[in-house]
Amino acid sequence: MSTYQLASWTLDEVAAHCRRFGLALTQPQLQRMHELSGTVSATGLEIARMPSKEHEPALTFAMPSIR
Amino acid sequence: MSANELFFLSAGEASRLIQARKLSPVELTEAFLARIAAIDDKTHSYLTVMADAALDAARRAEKDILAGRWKGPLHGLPYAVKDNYYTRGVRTCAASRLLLDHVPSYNAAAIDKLEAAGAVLLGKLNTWEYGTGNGGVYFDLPFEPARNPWNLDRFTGGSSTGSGASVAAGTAMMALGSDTGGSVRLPAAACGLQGIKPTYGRVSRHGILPNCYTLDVPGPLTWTVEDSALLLRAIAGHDPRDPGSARVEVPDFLEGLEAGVAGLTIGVVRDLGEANDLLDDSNRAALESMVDVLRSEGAHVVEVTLPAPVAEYRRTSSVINWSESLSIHEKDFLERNQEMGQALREKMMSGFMTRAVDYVAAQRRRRELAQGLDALVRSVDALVLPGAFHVAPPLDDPEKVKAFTTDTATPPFNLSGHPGMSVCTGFDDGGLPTNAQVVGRWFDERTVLRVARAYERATDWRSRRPKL
Repeated sequence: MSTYQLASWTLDEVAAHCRRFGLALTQPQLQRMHELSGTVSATGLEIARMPSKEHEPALTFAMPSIR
Repeated sequence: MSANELFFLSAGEASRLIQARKLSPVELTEAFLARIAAIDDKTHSYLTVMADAALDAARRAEKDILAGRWKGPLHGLPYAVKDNYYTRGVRTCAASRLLLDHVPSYNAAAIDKLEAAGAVLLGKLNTWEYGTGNGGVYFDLPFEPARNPWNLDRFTGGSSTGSGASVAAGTAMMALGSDTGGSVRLPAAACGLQGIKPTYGRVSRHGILPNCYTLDVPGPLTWTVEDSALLLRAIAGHDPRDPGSARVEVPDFLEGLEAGVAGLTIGVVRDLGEANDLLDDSNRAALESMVDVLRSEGAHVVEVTLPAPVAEYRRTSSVINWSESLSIHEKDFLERNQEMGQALREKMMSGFMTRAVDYVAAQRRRRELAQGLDALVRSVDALVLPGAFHVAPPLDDPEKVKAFTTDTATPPFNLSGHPGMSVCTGFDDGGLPTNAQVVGRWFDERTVLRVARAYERATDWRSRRPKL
C-alpha cells in the first residue's frame, strides 16, 4: 500500500482533465467519472509498493518457465 | 435419431458416431441450424449465423469422411465462436457500434486450426462489447443481450455471453470464448457448462480482438469435460504471432482423462477472506458435495488457503485491466465514446484515471501473487474452490448482474496464469446451475481436466438440459 494520501479529484478537476485530452462527455457521464475517480485512486493506492528501490520493478509480466 | 437427440449430443458422442459413419455431418449441421432458427430469438446467442458456409463445410467433411479421409475427432462437428475472433470475410464486431462494418481479411489462429481439423463453424456468438466492460448490462448495444437458457429472465454470465447460452441451449455443440478475469468460466458457471481457461500462453490470441494483453486467454465452453479436452487439444500450441504464446509441448489432453482421482491430493479452498460471506448457500453446499464426491473417488483432500485474500487479487487485476484496456481503446474513447455502450465507456473512464505508477506497482505485486499461488498449487495436485459465488441473477437487476461478475474467485488465476476450469456442480432449488472451480499447475491442464472429469463421471448433472 502507498504510504501517502492522495487528495480526491473534484468534479472541476475531472472536467479539466478531460478537456486537456479533448474528451467530450455529457454532464451525467462526467459525474460518473468523478464517482469512479475515487474508486480508481483508492484501488491504486492499495497496491503494495516496492519495499526498496533495489527490488525488481516487474515492468512487464512474463510467464516463468516450467521447472 | 431425432433432431432433439442430435443437438443435445456431446461432441465426443457425435464424433464417435461420425467416425463409425452412423451420423452425417450434414444432418448434424442442419439440426443445429434448425435449432438456431427455432429458438435463438429467445436466447440471442448469435450475432451472425453462417448457415451457407456451415453447410458447405459440412458437405466437404461428409465427402472426405466417406472417402476415407477422416481428419480426427473434430471432423464434421459444429461449433461457434465469440464475436471477438476474426473470421475471414465475415463481420467481426464484438457487439460494438465501433466495429459494425469490420470484416477481417484473415481468421483467428484458433479458427484456422479448427478449420484444418475439419470442424464446422456455425457462426459468431454474442458478447459484451469488445469482450469487456464494467460488469454491468445496460441494454444499450446494437444487439439484444444473450439470455440464459435455464431461465430466459436470467443473465448468462459475461463476457462470453453467447458462448454460454449457445452450448446450454443446444444451438452450438461447442463454443470458444475468451477469459480476462473469468469470461469463459463465469458464463460456464451461469449456464451449467464446463469451461476451461487454459494456462496463459497455451492458446494463441492471434486474430482475437484484445481486451487486456497480459491477462487474456482464449478457451472452450462445452457440455462435457471430454469436449473441452477435444477442443483444447485442437487449438493449443505455440504461435510466434502472439508475443505471449508459450513455446511448450501440447500433450494429448484426452490421455488420462478417465484415470480418476484416486491417489491425487486435492487442496480445497474454503476461506476466501473478506469475500466469505458473499458465497451463495447453494454454491457453498455444492462445493462441499463436490469435495465429498472427490474424496469418495479416492482423492486425498486437504484444506488450504490462498496466500492473499481474493480481494487483493481483484484489486491488482483491476488496475492492470483498466490500464491495458484503455491503451487499446484510447483513440476510440477520446473520439467516439458516445458510440460505446455504458459498460465499456465506464471501464475506459477507470483507465483514464489510473496512474502509471499504480499500473507498474500492480505488475510487480502480480509477480509475487503469482509465485505465491504457484507454491500453493505445487503443494497439491489440484485446487478446488468456488468460481462464481452466485447463481445466474435476473438480467434486469443491474446490481445483481454486477455482483455476479465481481463476487468471484476467478481473477487470481488470470493474474497468475494458472489453468482454471468451471465445473457444473448441480442446480439450486430454482433450477439454476451451481459451479465450482478446479485449478492446476502451469501448463497442467491435463490434471484439471482429469479432476473435473472424475467428478462429472461420478454425478449425473449432465443428464439435465434446459427446456426451451
